[in-house]
Amino acid sequence: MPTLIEAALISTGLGFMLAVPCIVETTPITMCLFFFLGVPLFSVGFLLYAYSVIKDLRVHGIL
Amino acid sequence: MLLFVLGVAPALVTIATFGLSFQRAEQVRFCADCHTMTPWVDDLHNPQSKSLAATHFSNRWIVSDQCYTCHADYGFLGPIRTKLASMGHVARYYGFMKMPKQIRLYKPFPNANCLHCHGPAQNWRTNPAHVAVMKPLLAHQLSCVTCHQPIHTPKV
Repeated sequence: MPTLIEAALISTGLGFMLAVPCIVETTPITMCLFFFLGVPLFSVGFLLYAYSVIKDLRVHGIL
Repeated sequence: MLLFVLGVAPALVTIATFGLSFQRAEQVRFCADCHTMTPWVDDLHNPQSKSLAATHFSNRWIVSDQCYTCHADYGFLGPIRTKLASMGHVARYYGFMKMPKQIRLYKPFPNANCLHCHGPAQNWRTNPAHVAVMKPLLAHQLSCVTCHQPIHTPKV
């Protein structure tokens, strides 16, 4: 598996791990962790995925 | 599959968590989670307290989410502005931003926050004390809290 996808999966996984406590019991700590770390981690994960897809399409001459 | 795991699922989780946590963040116990607020919440829960907040709480004039009900600015963007401001409070509390030495409102307490509930009430509209100052009250030239004191009596 390409390294970029691995990094995206790790980033998104960490985001999910921060979302769980916030969903189970919302406190300022869990909310703060999710909003300030979880959401950026999701964004990083998605951006890495998008970048890897674009890169792959370019390699195959589609883009 | 990867698109779902890395794109759709995080988006759905984010939307669900936003909705759920913002709704829960309206509860008094959420405000009470920050130790800075302890004196204010203690005053709210104190049945002996004569503060405006405590009487509203103990008499159940506001049934739930008592902090948020008074401190959300009513209007189209009011609740959103309030929630964004409270995210700033959380950031301050955990050290991302500079914490003020004294807690105070950003701006004078808007009458709209009181009138949201009291405004349509007949006993408020016909009260001679209110009738006498109705224009400045509605024009926000005279604050409700000028007469209705004390609002909070925290033991800090």
